[in-house]
Amino acid sequence: MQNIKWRLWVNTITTYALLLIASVFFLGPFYIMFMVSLKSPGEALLSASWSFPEKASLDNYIDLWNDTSVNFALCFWNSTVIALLSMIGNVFSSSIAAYAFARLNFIGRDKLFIILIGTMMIPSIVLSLPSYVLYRHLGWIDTIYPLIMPHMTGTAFSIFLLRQFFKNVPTEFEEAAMIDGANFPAMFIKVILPLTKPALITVAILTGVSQWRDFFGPLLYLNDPRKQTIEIALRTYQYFHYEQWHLLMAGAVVVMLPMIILFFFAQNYFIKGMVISNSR
Amino acid sequence: MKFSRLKSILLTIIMTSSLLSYGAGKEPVELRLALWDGAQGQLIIENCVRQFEKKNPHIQVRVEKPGYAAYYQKLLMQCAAGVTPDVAVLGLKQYKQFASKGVLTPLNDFIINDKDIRLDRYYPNLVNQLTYNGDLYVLPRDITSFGVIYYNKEIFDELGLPYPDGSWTWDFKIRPELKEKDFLWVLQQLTRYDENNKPTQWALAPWHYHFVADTMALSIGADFADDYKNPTKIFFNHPKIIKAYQFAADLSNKYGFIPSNQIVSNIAQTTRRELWFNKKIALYMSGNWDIPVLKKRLVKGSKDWFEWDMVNFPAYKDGTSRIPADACGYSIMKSTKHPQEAWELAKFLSDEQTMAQTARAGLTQPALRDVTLKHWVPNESHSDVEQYPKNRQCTDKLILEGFFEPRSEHWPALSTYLTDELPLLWNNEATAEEVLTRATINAQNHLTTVLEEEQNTEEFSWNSAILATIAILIALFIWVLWPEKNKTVKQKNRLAYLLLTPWLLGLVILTLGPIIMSFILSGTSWDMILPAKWVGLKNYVEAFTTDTLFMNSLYVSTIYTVISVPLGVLFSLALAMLLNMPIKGTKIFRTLFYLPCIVSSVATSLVWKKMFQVQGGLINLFIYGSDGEKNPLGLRGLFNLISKTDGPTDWLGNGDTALGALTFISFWTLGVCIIIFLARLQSLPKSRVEASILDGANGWRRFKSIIWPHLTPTVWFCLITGFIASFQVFTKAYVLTEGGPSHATEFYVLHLYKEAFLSLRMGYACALAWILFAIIFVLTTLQLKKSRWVSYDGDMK
Repeated sequence: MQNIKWRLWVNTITTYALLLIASVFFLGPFYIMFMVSLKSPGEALLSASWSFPEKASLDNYIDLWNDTSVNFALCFWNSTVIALLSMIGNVFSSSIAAYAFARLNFIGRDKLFIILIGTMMIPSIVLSLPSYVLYRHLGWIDTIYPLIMPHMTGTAFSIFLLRQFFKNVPTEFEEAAMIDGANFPAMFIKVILPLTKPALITVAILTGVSQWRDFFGPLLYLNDPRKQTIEIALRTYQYFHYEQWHLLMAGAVVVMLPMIILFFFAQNYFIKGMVISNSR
Repeated sequence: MKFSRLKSILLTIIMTSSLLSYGAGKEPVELRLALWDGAQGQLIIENCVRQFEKKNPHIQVRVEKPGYAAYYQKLLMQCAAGVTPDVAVLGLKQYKQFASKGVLTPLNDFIINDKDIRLDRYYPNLVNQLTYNGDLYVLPRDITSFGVIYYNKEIFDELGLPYPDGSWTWDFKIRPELKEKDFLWVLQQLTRYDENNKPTQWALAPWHYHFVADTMALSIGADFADDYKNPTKIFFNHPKIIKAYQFAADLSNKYGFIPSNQIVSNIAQTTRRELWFNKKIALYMSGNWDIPVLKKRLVKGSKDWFEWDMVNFPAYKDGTSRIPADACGYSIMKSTKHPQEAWELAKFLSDEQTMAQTARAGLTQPALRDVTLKHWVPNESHSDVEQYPKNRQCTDKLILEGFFEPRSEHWPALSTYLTDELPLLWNNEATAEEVLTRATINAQNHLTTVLEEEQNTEEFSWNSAILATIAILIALFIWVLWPEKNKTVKQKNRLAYLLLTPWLLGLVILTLGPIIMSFILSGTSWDMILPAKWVGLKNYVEAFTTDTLFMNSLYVSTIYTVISVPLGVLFSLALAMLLNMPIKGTKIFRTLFYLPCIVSSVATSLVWKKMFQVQGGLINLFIYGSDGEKNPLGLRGLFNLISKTDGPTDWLGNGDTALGALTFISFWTLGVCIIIFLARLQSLPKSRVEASILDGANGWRRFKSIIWPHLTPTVWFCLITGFIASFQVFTKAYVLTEGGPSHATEFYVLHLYKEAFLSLRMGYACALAWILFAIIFVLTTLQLKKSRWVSYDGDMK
């Protein structure tokens, strides 16, 4: 008994040690951002990037708050709308498509799956121009549709990811539900989705973050300054302040915050997903 | 109450003004104006736009400001799609790319009929430079030389040196007998050392390193091509250019007058300016565009303030001075529906009054010479703030002697072959002769290809392309629905297609069209604006025969993929396992591990560069300690071996380590893979793990028999998507190394990007894309077929 306890203790210590080492690695970029954002212009330039500020101050954040050249609040809202619509749309469309690929046997399934994977293999640079012309004919230039529609119809990456998860759900759960007389939508919502909640949350997070960070999409498709997203606002801010990096870093930290919060709280659903799958 | 009254007054004003404008009998017109100016300049211009609207009540102007970074790329796309703004700012270096394709309106007719415009008021040679095939396409606005030197007067005072008056000259050696009239002697005086003979203050820093080299090469009579208008031969390796470039590099590496990239750490050109602000550099070489920044930072009375002024770059010892210059102005797009109104706007924004406003503020030097002399050069009518910098007179001479950039539309692409190689020279890793010879071969090769392409005349019709696209779509449709043998059709078909509807709609409407179109375009030669020409398989042949960078870029991408994908999957699996342990605080660790994936894309380039900074970077801190002399992790010897240097190195700028550094960076964004693995581990039924514990399975056996089989579908997913994605990596290389040094990090898709948007060879870029598609497709389907180790619980039934 003593032996087991001791081993457990060693295991825990080792795990923490490894996690701490990895944290140093992963925290590096953010640490530098944060340190630079607390420094004065001269110090941000001349001191070592890892050094702690001589006189840490929130001046850069106050400057950012008082700046009127860029409407951060509006851009923040625009980005939120784009990210939210994409997240919801992508989870919905991808999950149903992934279910079809994972579970249903229909004509052309394997061929369609090859096409699905194939669409990821063409570098987007050569697609940007034909897409631009296409969106123009759809009347979508200077609207958010070119940004959200590719996500709302389900992306190849998410469908592939969810298919891998759905394939693993034991079929007896579905069969049991169907025998109980549930129709397909009810079974899908009550059985499949709860069992794969961690995967769905993952898709939502990845979509939200990638839309939040997207720079070239909004730059190309949006013209009206009132429709711009937070990344564009940040770039404009940087441009207007002559690339003063200490200000940019303060801006970047602020722009990151909503995503950090989203990620931190979305994790709770990882755990919940597990609880349900255990009770079954 | 007050508010609503205000509103009603406003409403009345708006209504009467709009009524008035209708009364004038003119249709309301909306114009779109694209600008790239910085904050202050934009404020003044937008102000002028409002004045213009007041004067012409029927015209409304919408100002668009995409910023400078992607200005031309966006404009190109807009040209191709036919949704250009009506009036756009264009620069001397780029306008020909547009003018040669007929998307700009020639301004000659307007000018002839407009008595306000007198072309002889502009700087001589400027109008000529903005004329293409006999037509003027850009109404000049402002002008700048690249040979302005800003100097810190306090440093001159401290050393007892007289302020430079512009009559100085330079030679290939220090000429002490000329004293302050010799540029190199001054540089020597301005460089200061500490007791260990390490420089603590440098004499000179240019905005771009090659400003110095180019100016010197041109001033000793070298030329970069046989004919700048229609180049056929590239002379980057001309002996005079080699001499000047080597000398410019020596100024840093041998004399120590210019801080090396290692010291500046090459975060951005602006860093050198910041060093000047902080009195680490006495002379800062740049152009007029920096004046607004300098004036904003150097406010009299503030703690950053020091006395400063500007002076022209010295002439060569024989008095020759040929310094690159640039200009910009307003162009009217051919697609505009209101050419007359657009002309009025362009004219209004580049007339004497508007120019005088920005000139007096010291923001931009007017292209009208008399306005420059009257408003740009300070006189007693200028206010105290407007007086700075006092010696603006020097720019007049610089422009008169200025050398305007070559005008060929191929030049932007050709010059990148030169700039790609230069970091090796500045970092003292290669000689000027080596890098310039390599640059010449690559540039000449490129030029020959594009000139040959121009000979082709076979027209290509868009209608047939669209028909072909539809035909391919139908063929795909039939192929998908073609009945398969050995497969019983079940009634689940309808449900399946219903579930697939959103994705199929997106696929057919949004995705497949552009993909098939890119395939058709791969058989053409297309610059995105002029009609495409059909060339058949020529692009594919070119990739495998004449394109010297093709194989190199494929090699770079392959090495990167082979190393980063398997290692990445392994690391993220291990970390996900750790995070899945039943210990406290995993939530915080998960967030930490995911942090680098959220870093705003605008900030990433700086963050990664700071990580790899030579002095003060986090990486070198761990390897070499805080002063570069220690060995904290005991890995110093190993890293010295890799970088072939002794001590801290510029990992991103070193040809031997740049690719490795980028691979290393890819591990920071493992967070995506980690959370996918985590999601997978979380959905592993606990009952199964418990059962195996009861069976007495130890850690490794438990992993092998329970956890690994459960994970295989996800491992497989991460390998496949990682494989596909890593072959398409290019943004990191684009912002961090631009493919350099000497193409060591020119990833396949970066090469493709350069072909598409720098050389404007979209047809060839499409061919490259489809070659990549073929490679990835074959390799992926092999992996798809050979995936027996992947087990699905659901399938086992």
